[in-house]
Amino acid sequence: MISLLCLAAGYGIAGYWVGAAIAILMAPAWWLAQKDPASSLPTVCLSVSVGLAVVGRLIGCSPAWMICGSAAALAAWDLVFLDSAVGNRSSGKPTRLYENRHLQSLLLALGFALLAIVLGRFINIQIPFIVLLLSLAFILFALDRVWGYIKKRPM
Amino acid sequence: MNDRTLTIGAIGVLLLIVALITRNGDIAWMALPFLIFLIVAILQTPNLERVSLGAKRILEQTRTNGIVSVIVKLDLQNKSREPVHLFVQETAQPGMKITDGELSQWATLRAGESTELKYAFTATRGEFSWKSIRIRVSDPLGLIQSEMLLPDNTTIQLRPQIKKFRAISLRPRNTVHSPGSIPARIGGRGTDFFGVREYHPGDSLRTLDWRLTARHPRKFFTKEFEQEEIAEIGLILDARRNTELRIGEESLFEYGVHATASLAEMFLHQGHRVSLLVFGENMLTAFPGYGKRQLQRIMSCLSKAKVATENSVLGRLDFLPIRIFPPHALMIVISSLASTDRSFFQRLRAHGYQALLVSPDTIHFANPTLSQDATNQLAVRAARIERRLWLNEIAQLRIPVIDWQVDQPLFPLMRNALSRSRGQRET
Repeated sequence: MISLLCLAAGYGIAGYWVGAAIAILMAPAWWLAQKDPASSLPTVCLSVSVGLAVVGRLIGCSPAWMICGSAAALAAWDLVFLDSAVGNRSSGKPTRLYENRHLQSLLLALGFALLAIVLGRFINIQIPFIVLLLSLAFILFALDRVWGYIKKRPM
Repeated sequence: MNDRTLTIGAIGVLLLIVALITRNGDIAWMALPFLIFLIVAILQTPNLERVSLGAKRILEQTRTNGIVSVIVKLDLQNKSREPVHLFVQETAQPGMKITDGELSQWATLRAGESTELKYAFTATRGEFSWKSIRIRVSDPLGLIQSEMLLPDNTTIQLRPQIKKFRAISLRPRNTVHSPGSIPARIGGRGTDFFGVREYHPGDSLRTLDWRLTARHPRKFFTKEFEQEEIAEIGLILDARRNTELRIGEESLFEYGVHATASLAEMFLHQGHRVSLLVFGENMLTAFPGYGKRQLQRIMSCLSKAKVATENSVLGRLDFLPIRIFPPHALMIVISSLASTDRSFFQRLRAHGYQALLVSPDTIHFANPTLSQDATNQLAVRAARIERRLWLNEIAQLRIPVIDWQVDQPLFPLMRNALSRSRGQRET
């Protein structure tokens, strides 16, 4: 809901009412995704929400709303999974503990990311395109290494 | 790797690529929550070498008779020094019907802590076994999971319910030379008078016929009594695909299984020697034996009995290895019959077996589900005539036939058929 409100507000403030309407129309889709978490609907909803945020930013909507919208979509997508995994079994102590740890990790990830974004937007550094490209290659290489490490772990 | 990890990774990388193409820093910032989300998961992923888990599956019993609810408990313990986030999932085996509890659970276990996954299931019949316990160790976000298989060896048999029959007095043509309750038509030890013969050295003086001896000087006569022995009984349960009929939850084969179990119990209770062959996907055999242990063997076979699949090569009873049964045994065949089965019964009689056919009536079983229009009525009538012809062909071989409508009790039919089968002769 927060995600959709952020996106709708971003589009609305910029005067793109069609975008705002699409964002609001996403609400039933998210509701359906919550009802059927095993389907691919939650992933579709996340992808569409992030896509809306990207398009919104490209056509000039407020970046704060768009970034918050995509981050909140990520949180919503993760909570749909948590809700389906834990369901109504959260009465057991180990399951409750897992739920708490999951929420803590989610909060840590999003909190740290949003803090980094806020701080990052204040620091204005002009990065040349080639450096940016190299940075991306480095990130991809790092991800590949991490992935290789995960795959090599004994099962 | 799971779908969630792929989704997060793909969105993060795509956002970065779009940011690069459009040279828009804000879109790059959008990728940051996704990447950090992934990094947090990676950093919290436990090292499997340091994870030590203990798991035990507990069943309240290892075998049950009849349909009951079986409670399964799965105890998991974290034996490592660090907390472990795990996902345990049980798979419902074919035939299981989960009645209570959950088959999966997410849990975080601190060092030394344990948790329990509990569920109940029911099944008509069958053998269920577990060879391992599957646990997925994960980070708290559930993104990076590693599977652990813990060894387990638990089995439960859900055996068919026995309907206790009263004893039926059998008069088989041949008996096994072992003390029992069936008059064997040969002289020996017993209670009923059988005849008188000349005295042989070694005969007990108690059995001397003094009156006859008195009438014949210089000769002694001994009274003989009819020896009472046990019968040799072979049960054949037909589990071929073409004789099975399933309507909703009900299966004609299950009626056959229950009838076989009840007959085996009755014959073994009377002291007879009983063997069993289930002729289906896998031929299951209980070789001849007596007593409670034999009943357990037979029930174990019946709990594993399954209807053959479509592709099974054992489509004809002609392939049935009848020689595994002792010669001259009384063979009780439980089969709803196929058109090609006459030759098998001919072979059975040619080998000297006394036989009885219990044939669950497929048409009577299916009839309530058919619409009562004229075409169906005609088809049912034709099918009845065809079945009657098959049964008559078998009856012509001097094999008693029980045309069993499964909603009727089997015991009176068995009692009538077995008491009549005394005069069955070689053809």
